[in-house]
Amino acid sequence: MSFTRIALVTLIAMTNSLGQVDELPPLPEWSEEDMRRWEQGDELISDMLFQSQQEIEPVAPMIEGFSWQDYEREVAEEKKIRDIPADLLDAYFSRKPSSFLIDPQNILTRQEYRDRLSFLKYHDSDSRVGLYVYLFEGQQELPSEMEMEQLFKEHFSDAGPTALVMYYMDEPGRAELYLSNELIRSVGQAERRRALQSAINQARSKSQPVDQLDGFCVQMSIRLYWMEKAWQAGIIAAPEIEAERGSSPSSFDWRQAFASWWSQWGHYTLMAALFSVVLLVGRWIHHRRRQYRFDDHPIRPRLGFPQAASASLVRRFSLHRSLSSEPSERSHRR
Amino acid sequence: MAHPPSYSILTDQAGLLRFKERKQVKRLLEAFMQRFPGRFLAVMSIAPSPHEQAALAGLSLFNRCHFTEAGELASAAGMILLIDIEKKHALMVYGYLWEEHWTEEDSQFCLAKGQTHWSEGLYLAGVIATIAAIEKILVRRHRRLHQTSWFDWRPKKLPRCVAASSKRGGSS
Repeated sequence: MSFTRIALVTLIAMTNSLGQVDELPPLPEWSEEDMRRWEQGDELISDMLFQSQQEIEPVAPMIEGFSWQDYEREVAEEKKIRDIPADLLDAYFSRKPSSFLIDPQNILTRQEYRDRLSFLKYHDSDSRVGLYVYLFEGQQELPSEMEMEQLFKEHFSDAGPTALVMYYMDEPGRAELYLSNELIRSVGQAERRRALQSAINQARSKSQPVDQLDGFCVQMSIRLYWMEKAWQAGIIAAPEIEAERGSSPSSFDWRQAFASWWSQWGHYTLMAALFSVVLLVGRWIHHRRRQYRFDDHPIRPRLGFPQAASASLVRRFSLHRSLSSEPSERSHRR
Repeated sequence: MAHPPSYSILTDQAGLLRFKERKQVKRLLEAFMQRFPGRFLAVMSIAPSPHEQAALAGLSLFNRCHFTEAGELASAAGMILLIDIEKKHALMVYGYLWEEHWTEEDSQFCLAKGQTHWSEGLYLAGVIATIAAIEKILVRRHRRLHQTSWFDWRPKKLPRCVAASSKRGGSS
């Protein structure tokens, strides 16, 4: 009994000490009026606090004309991705861009625009690959029927190696990269994808949309430097294989590899095989038609035989006799 | 003076071969004569043998007879494949002119090629195999004698352009 009492006292002391640590607010105390009403059996105002939440009536909106449905619809409408209107498209793509940063919607402030443009100009002065950045709102989207090849043909045919970036503010993951044909020849699709992903990752490490654009451009500029090196070295990008489309490296496509080898060496192989066949057939024909003439050296007749004195070998070719142990008759040389 | 008996290069007295088979063997023998001018090959089957010893029978036949297809060629330039169907013997007799480039081992090799077929009663196949073996050996022997291998690009004799090692004082 004494042990139980000691344990209870210890538990209460620990609970008190925990309570002191947390420094909980003091418990409410009954006021005199509440005590009087409670003694009389009247309803207390504080009982409302113990009622369930469902019984509480919704708070009436404080702004006139405001409704939650309209508000949610407006938010969803803002988040919805929509095509860029046609008149805006003309502002973007109707003519060759006069600067490296194309922002007809004035998404950036003047100062931000100048800062980003100065970096793109610096890149252009340092590299032969021009980097053009088209800025769009995060919820905008280029129409699907738009062809980038046509854009390159119309505006960038004489601009040398060019890289176009479609950048969506605050949505760096949706950025798109397009290269001119000179660069595509040297840079494979996998390398392009890696470059874009690297720039996107760099942008995502920043929180502000403008900083994201800045990081994206810097990383893309670095990647374009290596692409330019590959282009200047005349490297021909390897054809697309399954591994680049995300399959495992072990699934090597023998058929495609053979087709690629055949397109490069097939003619030579065929010619070599044909030449070998012709050589072998010609040699066989020559061998069959050739005459072999032996010299005649007169030999003095032997044993009175005028023509021949050599009967070389006699074989017994009867099956049962050849298998027997009877020795065959040896040659008779006289 | 009595004329020597004349035989064809294919004389099938024992009747081993059929008509078509005889024509086939005849063509082979004629092709042999075209391919090896100055040499001819004859195939004879006899039954029964006039001599007790097959070798003596072959020698006496070869030295006394003349082959019509050989023309002016002497019998010494020929070889005869004699098949004795009664005693189950086959022998090859070759003339003096063959002794420069033909040995007993060659004859043994050729007869061994034919024997595998003759043991099973396939006389045509045995004759064809023997003729093919003879041709093969003759081609090789001709190349060896005349150094006419198609891949042999080297000159037949190289001039000696290096002095003997003893004269140079070398020791090896």
